[in-house]
Amino acid sequence: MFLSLIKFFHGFLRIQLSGYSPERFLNLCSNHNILIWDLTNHGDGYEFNISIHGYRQLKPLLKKTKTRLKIVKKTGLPFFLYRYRKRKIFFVGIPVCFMLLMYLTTFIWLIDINGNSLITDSTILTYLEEQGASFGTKKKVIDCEQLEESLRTEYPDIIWASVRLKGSKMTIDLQENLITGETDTSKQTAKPEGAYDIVAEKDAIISSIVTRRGTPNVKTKSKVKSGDILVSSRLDIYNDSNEITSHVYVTADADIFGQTVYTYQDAFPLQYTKKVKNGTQNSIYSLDIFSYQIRLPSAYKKKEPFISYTESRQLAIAKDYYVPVTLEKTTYYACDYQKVTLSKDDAKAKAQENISLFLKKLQEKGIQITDKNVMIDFKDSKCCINARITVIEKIGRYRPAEIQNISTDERQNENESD
Amino acid sequence: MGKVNFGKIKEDLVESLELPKDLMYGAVLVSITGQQEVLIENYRGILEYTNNHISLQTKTCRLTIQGKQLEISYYTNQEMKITGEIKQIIYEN
Repeated sequence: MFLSLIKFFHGFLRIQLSGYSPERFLNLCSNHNILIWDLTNHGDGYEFNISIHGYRQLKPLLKKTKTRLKIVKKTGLPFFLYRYRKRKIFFVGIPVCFMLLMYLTTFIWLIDINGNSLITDSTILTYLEEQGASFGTKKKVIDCEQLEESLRTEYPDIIWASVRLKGSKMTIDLQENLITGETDTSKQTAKPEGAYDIVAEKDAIISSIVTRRGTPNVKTKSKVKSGDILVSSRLDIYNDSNEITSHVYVTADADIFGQTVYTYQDAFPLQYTKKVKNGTQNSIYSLDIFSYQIRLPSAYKKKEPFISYTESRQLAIAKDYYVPVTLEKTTYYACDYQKVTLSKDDAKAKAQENISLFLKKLQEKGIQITDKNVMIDFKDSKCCINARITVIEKIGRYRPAEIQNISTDERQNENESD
Repeated sequence: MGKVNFGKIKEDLVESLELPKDLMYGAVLVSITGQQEVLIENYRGILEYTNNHISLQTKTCRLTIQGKQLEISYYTNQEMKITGEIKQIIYEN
């Protein structure tokens, strides 16, 4: 393969040889190091291939051996170029094509984003577009280090970023802060500046309270209602004789856990109809170009009942270089209606499943479940679930404090009354 | 002592030193692949070439290859490759 490519570039001739002693001619060729290949015998003469360079050396040998040559075929690039020498635009086109290719490689044609799980590719691509570093941007314009820094400042979740340019491809490697729970709680407990009380989020019985700053208004086991101040931002300052001399407002800070009750209600019928696939399926394809939808013709006619799934895929010239064309494939599964009757045991199992899902969701929020009381009833061919779930959870919430400017008179009165 | 037999001495020397025989004697090397391909090294020249047989001159003997539709894929000073349906390879002194 490689050898034949070289032969093509150098060009070679197919030659017919006839005359007095062709064998002598062939021996002379090999002695003069002239390469001959694909030698065949055709009764009276021989045919062989020879390179252009070899052909030019043949003249003295022909005289010596009294043989004659006839060129049968010319193959290769030199002959091709000679034949089309008048097609000037074609020859201009070849270097122009290469130059264009070189010019186009100075642009970004592919963006590869790795390591992102929370931030989507499209979010980053949009951000890059704002920064002027999207598809088709000249490579010179892009400042990788500056882009890395701006990515980190724009998205706090990104703790490390690397932007590389290689060829016409920009590779962005990211490392996200995967311990998102911590960042969330830090946001919640981020203390606002100024005077803030901590109030109850909902009705609860306080199970534990640890105050770091502020005046606690409640004790363990005391009942509170939603909106009650748990820790006041007002700090009274007493003098030696236990009298209030003045007060300051601070941002209250405390960990307060309370016992609250969740109620869970759910009901589902014991008898219902279900769609069951009966095996036949049909697909319909459509193209979305901008906002126009082109439906590709299909012999299938929709017939109830059916279940349909739609898959859509945006077309891309290269990876991540999307064009505004979406290919949609809708698959219709023909169905039959089927009546399903749940037995009591099945219904109970389903109810248990539903409730454990609910409990799991609570636990994911960091709520501690202390007690649960589940009732499952069967009424009018329905399964009803009622549950009371007692939990311990954080119940504090910040609220701006109402600052009371107590005039000195009032304070004096207070003092007197004390 | 009689006449020194140089040929015998050379043969003994090549044998005992395990020198390559193709270099020392100028012997022809023939490698045959199946029935379709023969590679010949260390030959002098082509004596005759037709569709059915090729005769080659080597240093020590004459080599004839008989077959059908014999073709020389390439040949240089050192080696040649013959393809086609090979029937016989004959050494003539």
